[in-house]
Amino acid sequence: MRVRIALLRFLLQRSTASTVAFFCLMVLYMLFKPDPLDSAEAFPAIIVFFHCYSLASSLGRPADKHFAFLFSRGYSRDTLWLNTMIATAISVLAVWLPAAIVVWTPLRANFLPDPEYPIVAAAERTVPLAWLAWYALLMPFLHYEWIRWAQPTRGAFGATLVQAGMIVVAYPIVVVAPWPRWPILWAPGALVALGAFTATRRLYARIEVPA
Amino acid sequence: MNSPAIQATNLSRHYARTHALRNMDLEVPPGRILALLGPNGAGKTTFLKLVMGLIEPTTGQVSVLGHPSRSLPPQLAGKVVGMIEGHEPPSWAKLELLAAVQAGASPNFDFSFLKTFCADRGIWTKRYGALSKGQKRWLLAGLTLASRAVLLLLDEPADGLDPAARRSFYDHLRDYATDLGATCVVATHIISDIERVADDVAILVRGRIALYGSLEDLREQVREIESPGDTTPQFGEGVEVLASKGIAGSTLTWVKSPLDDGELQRRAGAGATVRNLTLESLYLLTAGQNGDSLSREAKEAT
Repeated sequence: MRVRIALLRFLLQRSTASTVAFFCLMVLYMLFKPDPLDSAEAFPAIIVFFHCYSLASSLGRPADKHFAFLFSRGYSRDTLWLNTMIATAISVLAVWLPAAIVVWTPLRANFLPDPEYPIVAAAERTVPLAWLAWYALLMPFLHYEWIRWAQPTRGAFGATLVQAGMIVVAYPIVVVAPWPRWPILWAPGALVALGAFTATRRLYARIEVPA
Repeated sequence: MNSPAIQATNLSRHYARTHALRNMDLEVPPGRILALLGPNGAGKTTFLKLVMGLIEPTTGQVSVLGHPSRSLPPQLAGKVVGMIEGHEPPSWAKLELLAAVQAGASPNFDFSFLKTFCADRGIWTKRYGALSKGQKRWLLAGLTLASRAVLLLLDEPADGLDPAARRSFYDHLRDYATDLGATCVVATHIISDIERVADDVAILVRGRIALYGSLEDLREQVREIESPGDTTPQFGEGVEVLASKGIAGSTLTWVKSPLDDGELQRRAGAGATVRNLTLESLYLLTAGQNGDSLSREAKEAT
């Protein structure tokens, strides 16, 4: 299991378009939203969801012929998995970190003309952590979903059940108990995300490439 | 004695109701070039994918370099490289990046070979999507040969290449196998090309191996005998009748036998002529021009 720079470049180029698009959306939203930010806000949650969805689709879809191309080059599954996870993490950080910096530094406060902003900014500091928590919750699920759906001998029914489970677990956590208000509710979410991550790792070791 | 490069035992793969491969037993010794022939849908690509470990057998198993193909040790993963139909890089990728990606998987990647191989082809600076079909195949062939892997699995590698490029590619492949002692499995429909370089041939028909052996032995042993009359001659011991067909007052019989031409002619009776077969004739005989398999024709003949 090794980090391969060229492989990372290849994978990152696949996700560049969506990462740039979601980066722009997120940063512009941070800069132009006049009201105080809230952890339970729908728009950033939607951005996070669709960014995760596009990352899982572009980086981990075994039915894709470009994905199959990598498998037939002779990479071990461990190496492909590690580099896919690193590429995912870099793509997530490329959207989340600039948005967080906008909130954590005086950028947003200076950009908005509202005089109360230097005060509100302090209250917004924990909001980017909520977005990161959403990424941590959604990304393992969606990677698992895309891989599981494309497995010809393992059936898609299990993947559909997992998706239903994800909605049941994630929705109340994101909407009802946004980070960091009720951290106790995030514990089961973290466990389920960890479970999905481990399941993806195991699934990857036996993945079928149907393309 | 070296262990086989590929060993398939009772190997089957089904897709829903389609039986792509059925109970296949095949042993490919190291250092050989195997021509994998068969009509469309015979199971050639499925076999290559099984050997690469891309898909799971429904029954049976396939070993590659002494290990199950689905769980190759990481140090062996880079020694098996495939050029599988439909497995293509994205259209934005340039050769420089693709070479680096291949080098990441192949510890012995030969960059200077790739440069020479792709020189004067106009593919260094273009995006993959901007290349012609032939240029794309040439690029993928170059990456595969530059990998210096010990087992190459090639699915229609020369498809889309012009005749000169096809000849050049197969010459490179022959040199590759000779220099590295590598095993190459080539699934193709262009029989005249592979005939020049193959050591062994396997003909797949409806997911089964209909014929397998050394090309030299098959050429020497399989003969076409034309005899007068409309009955198949009785050849006796040491002659396996593969198929037989009546044509305009005479009978064409295809046999496999170690006996020499004179002995076969004597057994076939007066007026019989014996001819050797080309690989294309062998293929047509085995796979059938209209998809009729050898086993079916052989049944009719016996």
